[in-house]
Amino acid sequence: MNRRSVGNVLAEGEATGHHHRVTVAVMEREDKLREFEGPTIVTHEEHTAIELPRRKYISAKVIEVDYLAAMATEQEVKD
Amino acid sequence: MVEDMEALDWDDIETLRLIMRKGGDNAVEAARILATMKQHSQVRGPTVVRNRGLPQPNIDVKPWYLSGPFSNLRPAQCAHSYYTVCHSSQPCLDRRCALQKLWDDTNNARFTIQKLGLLAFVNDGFVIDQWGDYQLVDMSHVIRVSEAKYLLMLNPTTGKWHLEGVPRDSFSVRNALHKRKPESLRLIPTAEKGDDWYQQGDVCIWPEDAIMLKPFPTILT
Repeated sequence: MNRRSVGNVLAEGEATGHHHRVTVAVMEREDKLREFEGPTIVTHEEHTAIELPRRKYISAKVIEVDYLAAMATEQEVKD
Repeated sequence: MVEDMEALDWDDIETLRLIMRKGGDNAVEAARILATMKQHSQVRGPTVVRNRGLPQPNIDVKPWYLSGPFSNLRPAQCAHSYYTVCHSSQPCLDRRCALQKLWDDTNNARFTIQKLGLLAFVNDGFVIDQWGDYQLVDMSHVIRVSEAKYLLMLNPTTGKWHLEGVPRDSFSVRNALHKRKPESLRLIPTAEKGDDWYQQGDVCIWPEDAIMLKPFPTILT
């Protein structure tokens, strides 16, 4: 599987510009999952840091449904 | 004799009036004192609050229900418009009615909701389920999108509440928490004896070689 380096970033903040970072190198896989190897510390400007023990890890963002984007479309259909 | 009576100390005025009514030299002196008090009333007497000019509303800032969207409208002003919609030309009695009125103008409703953020309207949603610091809330009638379900949750680090949209078929908080996991994580079986995994904000982190994971993150920040 091909991988590309994304520095030490697990996820980029969309609105705030804040990033979830680790202290080790992070690779992004073809399936968009990011992998890295502990031990390391996960940091973010608005969250308490998490210490991870020695192990290989995968990271990904939670699924968020944007209903506000659908707000315009659905109302137009109703109108 | 003293026209601006409100500006003077009432006890003193009554005493002086009493002296004046009795007549004689004391009455003349009382009249003189009253005249002096009038001249210096701003310094001596208590201020009459009811004559102070009340702050006037800024007529340049029109509420959303009177005109189109305002790009420079501050959230507080939007909120004010929303919650005081009852006082507009068409009387409303409650929040539900105010919400209905908000949607009289579709464009303004969208604008107001997006400008204020959905959190300002969370008390208008229907709570489907509650678990710990989480609530599963149906906001369909607020944003007029069918089965718009949100998780109301607390950022344990900052103490701030926020809403995040979850899949429509979520039926409880725990179900929504599971359904919002990234697909690769969701496909790993869960059990209490499973491996630890972690969540920082909207990022989930789990061991690459995990065969089984705990249902919820061991550490959530």
